[in-house]
Amino acid sequence: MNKSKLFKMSYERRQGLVGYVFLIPWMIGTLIFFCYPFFHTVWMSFCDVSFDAGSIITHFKGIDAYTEVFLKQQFLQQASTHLGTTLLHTVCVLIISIFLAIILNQEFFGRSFWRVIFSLPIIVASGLVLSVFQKDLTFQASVTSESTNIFQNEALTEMLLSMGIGDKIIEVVVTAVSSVVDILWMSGVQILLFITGLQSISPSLYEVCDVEGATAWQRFWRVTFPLLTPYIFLNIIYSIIDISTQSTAEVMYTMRYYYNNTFYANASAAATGYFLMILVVLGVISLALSKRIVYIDK
Amino acid sequence: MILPSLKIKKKNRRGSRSLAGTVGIFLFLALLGAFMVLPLLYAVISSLKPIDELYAYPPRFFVRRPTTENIEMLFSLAANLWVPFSRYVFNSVFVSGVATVGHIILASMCAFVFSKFNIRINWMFKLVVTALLFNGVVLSLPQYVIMAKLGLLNTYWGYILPVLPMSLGLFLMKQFMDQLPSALIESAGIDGASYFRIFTTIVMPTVKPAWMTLLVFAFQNVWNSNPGGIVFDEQLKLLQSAISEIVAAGIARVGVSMAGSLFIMIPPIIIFVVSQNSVIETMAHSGLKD
Repeated sequence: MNKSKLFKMSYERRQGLVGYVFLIPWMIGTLIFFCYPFFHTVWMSFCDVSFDAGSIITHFKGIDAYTEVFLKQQFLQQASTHLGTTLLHTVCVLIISIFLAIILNQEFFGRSFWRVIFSLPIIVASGLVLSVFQKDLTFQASVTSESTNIFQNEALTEMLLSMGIGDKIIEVVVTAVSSVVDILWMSGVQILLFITGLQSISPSLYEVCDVEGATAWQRFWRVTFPLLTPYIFLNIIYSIIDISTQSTAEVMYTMRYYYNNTFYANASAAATGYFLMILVVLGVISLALSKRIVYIDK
Repeated sequence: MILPSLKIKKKNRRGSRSLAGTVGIFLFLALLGAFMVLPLLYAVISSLKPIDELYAYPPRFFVRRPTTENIEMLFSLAANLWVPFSRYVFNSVFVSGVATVGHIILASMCAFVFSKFNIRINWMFKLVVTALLFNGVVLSLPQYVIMAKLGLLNTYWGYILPVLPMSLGLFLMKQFMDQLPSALIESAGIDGASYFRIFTTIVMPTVKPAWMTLLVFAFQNVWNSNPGGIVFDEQLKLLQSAISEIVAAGIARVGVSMAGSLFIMIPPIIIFVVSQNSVIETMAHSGLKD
């Protein structure tokens, strides 16, 4: 009975059902490990939070935590400053990663070696490796190490020092280099994604370009760029999320401060508020860009 | 038909670049690449430094009298742990392996639906993207509570399950699957392939570069994480926590910690090299005639 009904269903219905089967494992996971904690956090931001034998006790208190965090303290200013930095860095990261991805996608000697080199940030700049570096540097104590790039500069400074170059020249070199290096260290994932994107462009399109005698410039703007737009969009969103939630940013530091000092309501309010701010920025950007993306399919 | 055209292409590409161009690219990459390699080099050099050089002021970049005592110390400390060191390695490899593979499978299945199915819950995808925006630190408290309720504390599942529905993978896979021509899937459907078959024999092979790239991110993510408080049993702890304990135990262990961090970087680098070597030219459009 049931089985015959299944076969009588329309194609769309059946497709929908199969779709849900594919979705269910993921959805259960998301509900348990994201949705519930998320709504709980939002709820905690409106509450007085205390603990009792492994469970969280909340008493509704209103928007006290929000006024505290956003009006009385400097969180709002920190958050908006960091969002500004995020946008600036995103643009730089995109430009440099497209550029490097195109170079690394070409055929030349030692290509896979260079790919590994430029993907090192993905492997080095996280987890224990980073904390070991930072620990070492705080010990060496010339600069307080706060971001991924500091150990960079540190190493550079040390290298230049050991080569016997004067202080002033070092300062100029280090500031010029550090901003480029900063960006490079944020671009590991993006370069990899762009390379994957470039790989998916059909070689026959480039053959057409060769046959028609297009210049490299035309080939880039007429073929590569439009077909990369989905990946550019992907990378814009990825970069904004990645950079805005960088653990080394002041905003994140403040949130961790609240959290580690058991101001859970404040921490939740700060996280929720900052989340909404990023959401607005992302929403505006994706609305502005979504119609400019070129899909082969549609 | 394909072979000769490829040959022509290669010939043209090679012919169009001069020797100077190749050298230029090499120099440019070497210049930028130097900054990528420096920290790694710094770690290698520091792990070879004897103690008096590590604490020398002013600090020197290069090592004067290289020694292997840091690396030896790392291994002797590792050998003296209460739980055998191999157990930590096994834990880390097992957890990272299962979590990465599971994450890729779940993310791809879900992305396939969001990308190619015409069902009404596509708004949920936006929810997933927004999940990426939220600060993970703040979520850890309610996450901990729910894991305690589900009895996941002190088990491998406590590491693995929260990783499986990470948003990043779904987001990446969906963006890549959007590029896949729907006609390819429709034609397979018309030929009578089930959705499962379409998924395993058409979609996944075609987006192989995507999940090979995701493999790097996901493995990296799990391998480097050291979720505290979820597991109390020393038998079940991860390599990361073992090495940070070794490092934290003594003051004068900068060299050892550098050696440890190098050791811990090896598996992600291997995964990276293997996965990127298999991301070769894919013919996402080869099944179609325009």
